[in-house]
Amino acid sequence: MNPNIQATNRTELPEAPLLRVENLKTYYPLRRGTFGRAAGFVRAVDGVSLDVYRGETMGIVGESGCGKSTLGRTILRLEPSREGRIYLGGEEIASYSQRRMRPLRPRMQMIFQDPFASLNPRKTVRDLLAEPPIAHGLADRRSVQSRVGRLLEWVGLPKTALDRYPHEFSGGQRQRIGIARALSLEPELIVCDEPVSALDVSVQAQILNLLKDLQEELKLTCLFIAHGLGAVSYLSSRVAVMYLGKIVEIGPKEDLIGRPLHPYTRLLWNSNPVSDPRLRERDRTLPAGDPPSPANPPPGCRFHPRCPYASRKCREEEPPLAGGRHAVACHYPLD
Amino acid sequence: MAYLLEVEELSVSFRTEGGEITPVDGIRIALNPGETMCIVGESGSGKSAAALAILRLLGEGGRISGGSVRLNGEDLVSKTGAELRSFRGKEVAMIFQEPMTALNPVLSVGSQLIEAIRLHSKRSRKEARRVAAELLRSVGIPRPEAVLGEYPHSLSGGMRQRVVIAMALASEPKLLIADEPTTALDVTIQAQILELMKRFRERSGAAIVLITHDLGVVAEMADRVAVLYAGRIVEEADVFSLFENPLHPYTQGLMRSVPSPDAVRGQRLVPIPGSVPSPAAMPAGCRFHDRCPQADRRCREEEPPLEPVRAGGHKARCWAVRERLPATDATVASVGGGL
Repeated sequence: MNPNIQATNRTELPEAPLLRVENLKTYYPLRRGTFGRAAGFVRAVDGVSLDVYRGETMGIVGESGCGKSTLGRTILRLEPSREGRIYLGGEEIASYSQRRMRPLRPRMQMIFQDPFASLNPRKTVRDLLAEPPIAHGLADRRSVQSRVGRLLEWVGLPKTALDRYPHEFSGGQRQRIGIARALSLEPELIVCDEPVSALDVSVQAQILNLLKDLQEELKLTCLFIAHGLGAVSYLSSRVAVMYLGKIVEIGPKEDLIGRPLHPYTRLLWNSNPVSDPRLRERDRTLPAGDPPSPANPPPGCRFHPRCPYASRKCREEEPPLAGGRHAVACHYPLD
Repeated sequence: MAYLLEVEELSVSFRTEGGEITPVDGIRIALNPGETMCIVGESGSGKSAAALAILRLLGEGGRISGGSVRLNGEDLVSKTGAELRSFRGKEVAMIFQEPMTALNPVLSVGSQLIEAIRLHSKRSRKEARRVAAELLRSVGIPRPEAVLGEYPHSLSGGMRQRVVIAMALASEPKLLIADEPTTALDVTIQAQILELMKRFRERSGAAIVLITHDLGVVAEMADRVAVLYAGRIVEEADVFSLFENPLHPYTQGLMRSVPSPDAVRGQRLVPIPGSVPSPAAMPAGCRFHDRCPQADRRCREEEPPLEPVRAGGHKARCWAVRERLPATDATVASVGGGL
């Protein structure tokens, strides 16, 4: 990690981060042929470093295949990392066995994109919310009931929901159940992976507001992963932009949106449809082509084949992520 | 001027285990040549069923249960299968959300494209191949000659959607129906595909019916907009008028539900409570009443008509809007609002 970033972050936010990720890498072997020999790797996450402080929400944006979901899953130790360190409250957990992880699991939870796929259809809402705390020894059968009631209240579900099954609920309500389940262990860190992408527009707003209220009331620390800039900026205080397994720009939300430094960030923002038809004749540059495959990232700056400003240096030399609170990995940052 | 597409009181019904449902219930659309109309709606609004019905592509169990669809004055509802086939692809082309539904996985891109070209024009194979490569280049596909020999599965989602657009262009249609064509794509690819559709529109002068849930896509593309809720058009207007002055509480709710990256800090979204009703259990009265902050007794009992409420053909289906806007305004609108 760039020492500058740590130094500046520490002066402005004096306490230690709840989550620190250092040079994290997650590779998947590409198997070929009859015997499935590894013929190279998909470098889904390829050297990511970031800090998340208590009570803040860090947004992660990027196109599909940029590694944002894999990053979230690796941090939660749901995917094995190949290299790098993960500190949760100062404790290095990347090297832990799954057995050693078990007592730490309640401290980190995930909210998934598809709440239907993540909820056991044979269990009632009461069971879905009561089982995690009992399994982790945080409550017993009796004391868990008041906890379950409180969870329902937090996520805005009626008491009558308790004895019903997930399929009886609409998509938005199922996501409320998913959120309640993630909260049932009173985690310190929540990773939200595209929590509203599968929902209708009118329902997305309900869930985004719920997450916003919970952030404030429970002082949650979140990693909010999404491809939609609108949702990310609604909930995050800082934003990281990922491209082909790397963070290309990170900083306070207002700076990233108002004054992007990386050409990719600007092109990503340009790609967002307008919110008013009077703006549609705007002059804008769009990124050319598709993102390259993370199995075979281009040399130099990974964005150079799609970048309108790429020079020879960009094709040969990979730029490091550098800067203060607003850091960028680009040889020729915009101003 | 005669309308290119004229949909009158179109209803679509499906047989289900619980009886017949009618997800599209009496919609009217009139589209001029070269015009782009966006149909906005959430899941369950009936927007996709309406698109399929216009092309007579409703699958098993679905049927047009009322109304008419006329393209260039010809009635599509009464056409036979063979008549329809020559009509589709020649006069009308369709792009779906998932490009693989339009592509044959066991045929190369080239053979599918060449077949489409030869179906609509008398060209030799060699000539058609040249046109095919040209089309691929025009939709922004690099190395078009090589891509002609590839199979759909080896292409990315964005590339596949480009191939589908190239196939749609091959027939030089007068009307393009696109059902969520960019929903499965990343925003950068979405932006490229929308630019492509704009260029196609300028060059060919074709009319487009674009079905989407995304108000951003509407703001980019539409000349006119119909907002669909629970099988009914609840508001219809030109795009500028709709964004500047959305009248129906549902449209207003949709607009307040979308987080904008450049929104004022701390500005809170105002969601629409509840969720879309099931077509098996449509509410009585106005279909939006149980989610509407302005609903009163009349809304619960009696369904409002879709009527012009402002000049320029801005129509809304809402009792409250009707009361709020003076009658003279509405009268002026209905005189000048034929478009």
